[in-house]
Amino acid sequence: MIIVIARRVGQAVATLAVGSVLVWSLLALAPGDPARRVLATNNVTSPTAAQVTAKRVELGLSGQPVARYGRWLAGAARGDLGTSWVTGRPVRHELGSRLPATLRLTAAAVALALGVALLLGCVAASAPGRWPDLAIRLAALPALVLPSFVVGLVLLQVVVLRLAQFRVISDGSWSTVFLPALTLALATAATWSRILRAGLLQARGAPHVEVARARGAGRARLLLVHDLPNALVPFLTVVGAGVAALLGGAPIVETVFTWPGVGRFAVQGITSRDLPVVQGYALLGITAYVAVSLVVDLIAMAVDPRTAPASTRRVRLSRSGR
Amino acid sequence: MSVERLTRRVRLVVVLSALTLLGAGCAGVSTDKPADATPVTQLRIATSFAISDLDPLKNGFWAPEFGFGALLLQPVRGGKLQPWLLESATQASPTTWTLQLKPELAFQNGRPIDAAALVEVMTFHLRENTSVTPLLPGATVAATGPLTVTLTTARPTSYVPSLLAHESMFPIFDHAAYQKAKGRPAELIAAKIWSGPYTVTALTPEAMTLAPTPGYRVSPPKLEKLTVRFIPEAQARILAVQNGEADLALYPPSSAARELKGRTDAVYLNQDAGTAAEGFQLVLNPRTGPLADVRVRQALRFGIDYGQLATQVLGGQYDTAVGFYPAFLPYAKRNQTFDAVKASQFLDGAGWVRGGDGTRSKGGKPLTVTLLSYPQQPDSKTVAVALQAQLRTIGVDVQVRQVDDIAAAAKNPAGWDAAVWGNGAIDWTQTDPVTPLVANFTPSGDNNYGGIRDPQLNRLIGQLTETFDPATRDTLMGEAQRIIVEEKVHSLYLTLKRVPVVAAPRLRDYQVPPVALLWVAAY
Repeated sequence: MIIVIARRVGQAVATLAVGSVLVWSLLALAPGDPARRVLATNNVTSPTAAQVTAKRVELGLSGQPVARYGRWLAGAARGDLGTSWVTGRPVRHELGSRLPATLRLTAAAVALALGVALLLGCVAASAPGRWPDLAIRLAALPALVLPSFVVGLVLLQVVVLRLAQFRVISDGSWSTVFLPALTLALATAATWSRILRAGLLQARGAPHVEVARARGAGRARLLLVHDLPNALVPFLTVVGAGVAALLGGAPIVETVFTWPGVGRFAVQGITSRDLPVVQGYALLGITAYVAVSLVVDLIAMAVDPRTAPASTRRVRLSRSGR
Repeated sequence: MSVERLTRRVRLVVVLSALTLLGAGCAGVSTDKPADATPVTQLRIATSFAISDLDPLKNGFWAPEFGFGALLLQPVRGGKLQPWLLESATQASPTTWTLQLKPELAFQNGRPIDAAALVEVMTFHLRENTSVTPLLPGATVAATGPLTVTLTTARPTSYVPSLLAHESMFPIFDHAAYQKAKGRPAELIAAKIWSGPYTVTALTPEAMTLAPTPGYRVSPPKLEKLTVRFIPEAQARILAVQNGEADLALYPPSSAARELKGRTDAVYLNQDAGTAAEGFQLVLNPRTGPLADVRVRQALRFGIDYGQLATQVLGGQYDTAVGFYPAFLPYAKRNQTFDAVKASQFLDGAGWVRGGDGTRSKGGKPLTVTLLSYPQQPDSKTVAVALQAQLRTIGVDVQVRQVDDIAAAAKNPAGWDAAVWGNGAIDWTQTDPVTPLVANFTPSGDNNYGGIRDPQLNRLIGQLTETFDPATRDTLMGEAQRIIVEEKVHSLYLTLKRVPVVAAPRLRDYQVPPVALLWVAAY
């Protein structure tokens, strides 16, 4: 098991390494001279050659690419993601100050999506092919195909302007989280509910469920005690990936609802070509995704040995057979 | 399933949905919409640009716009300047200006704004502010009385008063306090270095909060509270006004005028017709390509229907450009007129012959003009596409290229022939046409993207710099326009934008600043 965990951790580290190269390349491959851009941001529109050279050194743009990457990676490992070209403050502080709002939004969106997905998934699976299942499928369709900014704008127009509920300007607090969380949760819940439904139906066909049914277990007991636990492992994997994606911020939704999180800050960084911010955001997103995926995989392995690699299972089976 | 059972289930779903919606509604925050009759004692502005800190070099130009900083002079309607912190600015000799401060003024931290304080801050601007240094090289300031400062320039400089009224040049702050708090945003707020009627009390990445400056003597502040929210999304700013969460949304797109027509929750306002001074300039690149031939540039000048651009293409939110300068300026010449026949004659004379598809060509090469637009100014693409259609009628094939960084693209001498550029032919105060001429047309000018080298125009700009007499200046300005538009066609103005805002119903009488963007000057 330790070998399996080490291998999985190794894969995660390798993924992070590849991701870091891609993120670092954003700056290296960006058109134009970043030093001149930073000087222009600081009101130095016609810099001297000495000013440009000094700024290039300050930004770590001098030297061979491999050495520059090494310096950047070492800094990133220490949490030093550089300085925002626009605000002049450390990117770590800029992202750190906005992360709580993004975590709040993620938590609310995941809670909403989980609640809706569990409800809809169970209802749909309890009557496959019948009207509740069809109705849920129909309802899920627009949630899946409509882009989140369209859903957000419609909610703002209908719920806020027409029904006079909630606010346009979100301040990042729990009291303004509902609409952006709902916007994020709708598409996520639609996906998750379909996956849960499929998992429940698959679990229902297992022999032990047939036995339980033959022994007189009720529908509720069959669902909660026999179907759901078996359907949860693939469901949790998908939920984990979704949570990881949300942890990286939801740039579009945060922008539409003026949610003061890292996603909206990243959009501002992209608009103003603030590359250290874009780099820091991308690195944060990749790290969150890889870390959460790793944790979910490890939990899934612990919960369901079938998800462990075949070699480990054989060892365990042989030991249990002894 | 029986029909009765189905009906019961549908009812249950409907009731549950209604309860969920009701619950969600109860959990909402009240929108706290102010009544229309409420006197304006609080103002909430939603703007697209975030202010990261109160550093004068980085963000000083926001200070007069949002009332936390003051200038020495204030630009007002009609191309005039009026005293702000100064009582007077008089020219003692061609190179000497006497600046007399109003009595008993103070910074927000209580330090008196006297001659010593003014010398400190002006010296700082002359040395450190890169907007000022190229315009006043070698200038010095000295205190010549308790409230009197003498500014000495290295050469006679006609635009000194405009610089004193320009938001980017000499915003006035307590330099000594700034030096102590520099680089530490929170300490800069606490140091209260600024000089305006409203003092910044809090600044976050989302909003800036201001309160009236106690004992402010220049003009007592009327607002009890001023909030500036930073909302990059244009639609969100407008929705915030519609929902009563903001009073003014700045920088709305032109399309908002149409969308808000007939609505009662917000009103689209803009500057009075005929007062717009900034808009879209057609920057030309005569170094390579077909525009190297002045006859082709003349064809563009006459082939553009300026009236159609303003009234039809841009929905009446723009003024028609009749020349390089807005028509209300005394020296403005009306030398941009649409005349397709004349445009065609210029192209015929240059040897460009119409082909079967209507596009002209010469020596087998089609007459193609690459025109740049950029997404930061969405209307620039609209204008570019309209130009494409207009110029097609005279046989010019316009290829529109949207670029992310128009300045970077235009710095390249090749790859483009013209650019639709948001700009102004006169400065921010609308009193100085010379500094934009320096920037646009002199060899070392920051905005000389077309690489224009015109000794005749350079001499004229030099003369304008040293000319103080209004009548002589107007004559020289007429000559400059003859060269820029009529003779060489170095550049053209396409249309002039009347600055818009979206206002809450209670502010439907809000006057969009006719000059400069001093959003809270009326309060």
